[in-house]
Amino acid sequence: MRLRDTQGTALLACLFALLLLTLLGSLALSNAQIEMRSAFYQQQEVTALSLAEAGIHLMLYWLGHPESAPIPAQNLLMPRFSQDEGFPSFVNEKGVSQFSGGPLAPDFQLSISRNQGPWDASWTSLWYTLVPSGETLSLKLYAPIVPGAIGTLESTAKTAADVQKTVTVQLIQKGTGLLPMKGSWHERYE
Amino acid sequence: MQPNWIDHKGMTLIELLFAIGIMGMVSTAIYQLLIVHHANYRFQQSVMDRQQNGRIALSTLAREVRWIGYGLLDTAPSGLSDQHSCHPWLSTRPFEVVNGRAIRFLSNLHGIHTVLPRDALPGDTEIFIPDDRSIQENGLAISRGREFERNDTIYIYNLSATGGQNETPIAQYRECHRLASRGASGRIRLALGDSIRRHFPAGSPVYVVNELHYFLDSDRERLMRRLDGGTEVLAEGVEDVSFRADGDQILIRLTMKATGRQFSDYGYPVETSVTVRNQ
Repeated sequence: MRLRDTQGTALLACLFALLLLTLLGSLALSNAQIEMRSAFYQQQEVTALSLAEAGIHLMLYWLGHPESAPIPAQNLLMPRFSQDEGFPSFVNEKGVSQFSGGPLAPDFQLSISRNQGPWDASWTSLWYTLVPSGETLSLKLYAPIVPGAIGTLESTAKTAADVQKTVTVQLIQKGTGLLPMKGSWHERYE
Repeated sequence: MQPNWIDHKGMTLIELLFAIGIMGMVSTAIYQLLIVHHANYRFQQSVMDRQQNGRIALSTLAREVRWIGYGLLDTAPSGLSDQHSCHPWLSTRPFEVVNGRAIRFLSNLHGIHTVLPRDALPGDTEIFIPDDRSIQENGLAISRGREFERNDTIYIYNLSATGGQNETPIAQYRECHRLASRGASGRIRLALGDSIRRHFPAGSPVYVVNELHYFLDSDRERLMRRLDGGTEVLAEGVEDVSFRADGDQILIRLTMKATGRQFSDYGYPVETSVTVRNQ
């Protein structure tokens, strides 16, 4: 018997097995890539939502402490009316808010971009949060939808992967404090 | 030149049989390998599909749970006991966890809301809403008429700031109605299924409120989503679902049914915790 002539069989068999394993491996890799992409976008959505909510909390803080807001915005965020007791108020005696704009022409608008740099100490910490995770944060304040409320706060955050979330809330005044109105906290579906 | 055929004798029958036998064994081994790998691949694929379905279902569920209570404005204690409420199960919270295995809640899922441009009086069987032109001209951040659908449930609120300028506006009372007509671009009237019972001044907010119900169809191992009476399957192959309310957090745990005999005792759990802002 001359086995020397059958030496190529093993090579062919190995190549065939290798081909099969490569196919299976590439399928598994492709599935893993799809999974990774899906997980990445879920992570981006959570990031965008958290940033947008952080924007709402920042605006709430600025409205309660206008002196800590960016200097050009300080006057806009201060109450213009005064109550019977002499305390400042955002609404007049008829319950009409000082904010009268709409989403397209808001009373107050501020966009923070990570490319812009922290030009104001009031949002340096937010900017440092934005740098690794987000792209832009747009804050708006305009007329309330609910009578007696102070205004509508709108915060839109966009991540580097273009995933965007917008959160809106109606603001109310309770004593000298400002609160989001119960039942008005809304995450816009985008 | 004459070719030399002397050294090329061809294969004997024994050699051929031997070669065929070896080829057969090698092919069988490769085929077995293929079957094992293919089964393993299919198993991994089904595990991945289950986990992926679980994550997608959980993502949808968590997003809608996060919206719980949107459109149910702060209400005075007296306003909560609305005898004519469309949702008799509604308590002080806009959701209800049923036996830890299902959740039912209210939310303005599509953000549809408006304000009354004129008073709604007791006995009225329709309400007026601002038309598209006035929405555009005044830059109002409210929904257009065509967004309101027949059979939508709406809540109308009478808000009051009784304590002056520093008082939180709360709903003195609210009414729930079902729409008997759908809105349209030019239509500023919406017919109601019944009549208004109390007075609502111009400016009163009107919110569409959807009722959502998530529950497990354990016989068919499916997670079901019911929106305003219409039921759909959110995920298949679901072994268990649980909800737990803790303060403003709702913990959701979804266990997908395991696939393959070797893992029959273990499901694939995915869970998340959601902060409910409107409660």
